[in-house]
Amino acid sequence: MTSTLEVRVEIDANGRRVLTHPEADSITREVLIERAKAMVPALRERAARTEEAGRLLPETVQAFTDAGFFRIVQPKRYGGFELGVDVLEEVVIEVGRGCGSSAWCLAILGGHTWWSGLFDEAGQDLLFGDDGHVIMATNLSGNGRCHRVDGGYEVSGKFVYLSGCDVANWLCVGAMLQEDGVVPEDAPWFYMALRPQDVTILDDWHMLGLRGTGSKSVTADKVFVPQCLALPQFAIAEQEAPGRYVHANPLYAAPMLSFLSIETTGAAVGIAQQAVDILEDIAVSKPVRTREAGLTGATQSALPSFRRRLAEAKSLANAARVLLLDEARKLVTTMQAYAPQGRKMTPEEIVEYGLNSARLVDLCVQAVDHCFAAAGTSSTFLGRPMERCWRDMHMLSTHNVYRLDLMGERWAAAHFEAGGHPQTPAKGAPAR
Amino acid sequence: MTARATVDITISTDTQGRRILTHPEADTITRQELVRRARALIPVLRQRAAASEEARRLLPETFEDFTQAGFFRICQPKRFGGFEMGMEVLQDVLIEIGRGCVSSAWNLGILTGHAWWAAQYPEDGQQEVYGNDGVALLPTGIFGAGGRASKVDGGYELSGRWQYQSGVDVSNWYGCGALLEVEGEPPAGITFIVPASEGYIEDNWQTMGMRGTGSKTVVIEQTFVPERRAMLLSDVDAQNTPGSRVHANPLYSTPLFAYISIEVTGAAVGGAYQAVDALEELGRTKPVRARGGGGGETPAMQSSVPSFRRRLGEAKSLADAARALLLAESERLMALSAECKATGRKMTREEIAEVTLRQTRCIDLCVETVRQAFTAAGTSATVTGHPIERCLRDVYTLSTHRVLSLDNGAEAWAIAHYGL
Repeated sequence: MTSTLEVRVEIDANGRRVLTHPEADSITREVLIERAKAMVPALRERAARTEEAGRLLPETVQAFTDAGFFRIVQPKRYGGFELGVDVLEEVVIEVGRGCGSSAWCLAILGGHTWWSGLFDEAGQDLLFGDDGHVIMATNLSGNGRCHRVDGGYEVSGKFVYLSGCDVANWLCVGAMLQEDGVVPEDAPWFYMALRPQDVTILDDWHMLGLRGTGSKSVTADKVFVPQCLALPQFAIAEQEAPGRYVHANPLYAAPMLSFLSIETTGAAVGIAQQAVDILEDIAVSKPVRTREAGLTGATQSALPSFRRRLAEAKSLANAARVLLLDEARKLVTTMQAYAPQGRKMTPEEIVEYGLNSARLVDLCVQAVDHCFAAAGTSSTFLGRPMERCWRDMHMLSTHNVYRLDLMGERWAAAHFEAGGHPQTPAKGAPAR
Repeated sequence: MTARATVDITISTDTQGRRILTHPEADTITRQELVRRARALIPVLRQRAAASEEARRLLPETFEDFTQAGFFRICQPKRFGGFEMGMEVLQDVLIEIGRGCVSSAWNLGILTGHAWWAAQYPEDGQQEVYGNDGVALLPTGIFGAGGRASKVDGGYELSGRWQYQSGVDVSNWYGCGALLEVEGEPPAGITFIVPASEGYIEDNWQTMGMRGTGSKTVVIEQTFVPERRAMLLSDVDAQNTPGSRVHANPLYSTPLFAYISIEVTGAAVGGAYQAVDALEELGRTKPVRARGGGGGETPAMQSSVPSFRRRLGEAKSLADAARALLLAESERLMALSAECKATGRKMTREEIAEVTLRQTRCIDLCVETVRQAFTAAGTSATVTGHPIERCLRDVYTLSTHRVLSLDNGAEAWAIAHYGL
């Protein structure tokens, strides 16, 4: 699957090669959201097939590609739109209203064009190629092993949960450096970009929900990775990714966890809103049954308990949406304030993005649970959109980044290690 | 598949000339022994749970195990080959069975509870339904009036379609609710018992959870039902069913809607305990992954993580609360029935609704239990077939049953309370 758009390749005044997407200067947040909204009916129609296929469908990849969705947070210089992560989330939310799995994949794959912008210039030249079409699936937890070879590294390992790997043209995995076959203590590790043809994808994604994400395992056996496609983890940890010096936009200086914890969360909000949409349909289409009379003329909207559940779910989904977009904009404005001063985020500031993402996913779980409870047994038949939303939402909530237990603990640890006092916002940082 | 009673029922005639079926264990069986038998089945039920889901029905071997253990007879009149024990015994057994397989427990609750339900019918109807072996297994569709009936000479003519007939694959009778059409009058609710051979099954049970219950649709296209297998809902509401006059034990005077609302709740409590058991095991067997540094496994287990311990403790206490509430409520219902029978009073609408409300509260506690367990278990427990993902699907699906929904239970209780 390739981009069907003509990307212009030029050399700028500094002699750098520049890729320009034809819409790079005209695209707006509103247009992207409009395109996402327009896709919802088709995504709903494909949702069952997407689950069955256990991967993002080719026609959906094509639709996302044509709409420019993979380029939202991609550097302009490499054919992207370079818009804020808040725009990505608004698009993901709409897509999630149609299909949770497709939204999850879009969030990951669309978000990782930002990730690709963190490599050094030579690496980005390679990653973005001549068309700027990067679809990168990742597992960043560092389960692999690598050793130095001439011009780069050789990486081996098994990597789990690579959402979208079937449609990706790059895979990024974490690997620790071995020396003489041993992993020394405090070994450096790297995020390494591989080509899908160099790895084996295992068919091991048979799960409760988000089946259409195809988040399968990948194995690599002594795959060569050039130096420029090995992004050192310590640079990420120190907020010193090479990409922050390649691009002027402060978004590329954002800490990894702050960005990644926001990146996929729009899928949760989209699923919650989808469940609310479905319940709205049920309200006016499902008849009320009584013990003796059977079907009555009334529909579920006549029942007080139904109305309460609908309102509760709707307000929860709305609260989650507001919190997500607030966090996304906060990341954009914080980086705009910090980057010019060379200021780094504290561990507490970074993990707060994770904590609030976990919080809003929990709100989305509650929203879907209310919808599920109100919808009744008829909505539990396989293939009904409500049961799919329920499975997708509960599945999503198990991701480590969204577990309130983990994020609560990590935030509190960072907070008390920092002295435990409420933070004084830095000059220029947005007030909370 | 029709494995039938494999025990020898003694048939005798009592001093009043009535035919009496006696189960060989009728006088010796105890609650403790039944619970012990249920507990002993847990490992095999767990091992069969995936096959049960796949088959989308109560497995023949599980049906045979339940039959051998006498479980279907717990609430059935002694006179018709049963043990005639209280609701708390059935619930105690269901909790253990649900710890092994929620779907199997559900079928057991429904079928055993309805072997009590059959005792509400006229005496000659009961004689027919319990037959010579005391096997009366019937799913029932009372709600929603799936059928239409009209009066004919000596009985009724019945047609209809009843959804959600749990246990239909092993049943020998169907319980069928219908609207009785009488000229010039509003239709009246009526329930029948019909031989399974007079209907057919539509295999449409493809659901998110509770797959092993095989709660398929039953269709009957015009059959004759004699008076003796008919019961008017007006008699049920008046707490004056034919059967309540047949049996001396106040067990059979319990208002039907109180009885059946609580008959299957133990399946959910069992599911909650099953999730707690699975989580407890993860505490001992699932390694903690290191943060950073490659994220590999560490020697520490989940039990060393405070938030895991809190979720486990929370889940366990929720399951314990649900169990205590369910058993207390079962005993209270039995005591209330005895008191009503002794004093000749009827239970109030509010008293009946309170039983339902409290068991819906149990269900809600069970949903919360499995949610806590699922949250603590992580993504590895979402692999299809993991007991925690199955419990989550099962208990959530179960909670949508209209009689088990807290929304419906609360609304019905409040309406009764205010006399609205």
